[in-house]
Amino acid sequence: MTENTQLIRGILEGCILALVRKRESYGYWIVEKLRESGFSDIHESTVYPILNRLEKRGLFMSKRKPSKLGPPRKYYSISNKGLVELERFAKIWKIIRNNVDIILREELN
Amino acid sequence: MISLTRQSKKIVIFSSILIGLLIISSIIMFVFWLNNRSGNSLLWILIVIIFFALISAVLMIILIVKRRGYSSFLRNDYYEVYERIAAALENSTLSIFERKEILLDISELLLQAQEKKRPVNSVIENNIEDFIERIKLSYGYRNGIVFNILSGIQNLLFVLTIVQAAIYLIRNTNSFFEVTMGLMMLPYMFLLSFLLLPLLKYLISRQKIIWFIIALVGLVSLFLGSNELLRRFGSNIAWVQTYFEKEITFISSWFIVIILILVMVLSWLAKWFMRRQSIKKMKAAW
Repeated sequence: MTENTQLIRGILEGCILALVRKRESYGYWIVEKLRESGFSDIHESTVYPILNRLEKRGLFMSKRKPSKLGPPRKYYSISNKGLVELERFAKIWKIIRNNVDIILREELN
Repeated sequence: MISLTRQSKKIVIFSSILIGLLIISSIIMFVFWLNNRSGNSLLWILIVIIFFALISAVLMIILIVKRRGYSSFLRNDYYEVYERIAAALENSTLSIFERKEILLDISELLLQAQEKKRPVNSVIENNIEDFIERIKLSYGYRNGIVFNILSGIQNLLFVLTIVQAAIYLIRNTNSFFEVTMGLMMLPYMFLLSFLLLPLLKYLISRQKIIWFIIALVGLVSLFLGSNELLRRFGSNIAWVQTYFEKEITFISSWFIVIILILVMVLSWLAKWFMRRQSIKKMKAAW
């Protein structure tokens, strides 16, 4: 899977919003979660620009906390704007998934 | 034994050559001064040049050998990637605060990978340029041409002030505002501000040190060479005579100083506003 296509990045934005909804999270944890969920060839270099973008757009809030590794670690939490955006993503995704399923069912069977 | 990355070694070698050449030429000028003794100001300038060359050599080596901040915890293979990213970010529309924030995040990512014993290319793919582009885009779209023009204006004001100050010190003129310089300096300063400095910055960001030296020597030789050709074959043409003989004062009064400061501040504000707008205009990726 080419992880850098616009489609995948768009989907990843929605998935990351969903992952951060329940708990304050940091970059490495988010990458691990995405890998566990099947995005096995995801790199930090794909996720980091997405996290940055979500933060700059005001969908995430961030806070640095001390880490034993050295540099203070950045923790992300979802903002109200982020929750609205997540809901919008979930709706759009449902429509896209249904549409694609219909086409695949009709054409492949 | 201090372990340097390949890139740092190249920078040390080439910068040492450049500084060495600067010191040698200053010594030659000093010997020339000893034979002629044509004024004390030249001697002082030579002493200042040699002093700054030595200081910059020491600082450069300290900066390269002593890794700054958290990046000092990184092993060489991780640090090499960090160094490439840091260099690439230098030549971007990102502000210094944005760059610092990114580098802090990157050092955290790399340290985490190092701790988990994961190879560096499993964190940052081999295509670092593409990664940098995506980071830049995560701050929204910024028109690089407009940013370069604004930086060019800032470079020009800086160069203009430095050149006038240097001539003021060399000639020992009564007032800074009375300093005149050749009209032919103007295209040189434009070339330096809008072409040479951005080009050198670009080459450094891509870590093309050899091309950096070639571009530097090449462009300066091209400018001096074309001037020399013009002087030799075009001395009968009126505008060529004006170009070589006309003396002008760029910063001639406090009023001009205030205008220059205003232009500088406005160009900074324009950059700040454009950065802010690019973030505001960002939309969802789906």
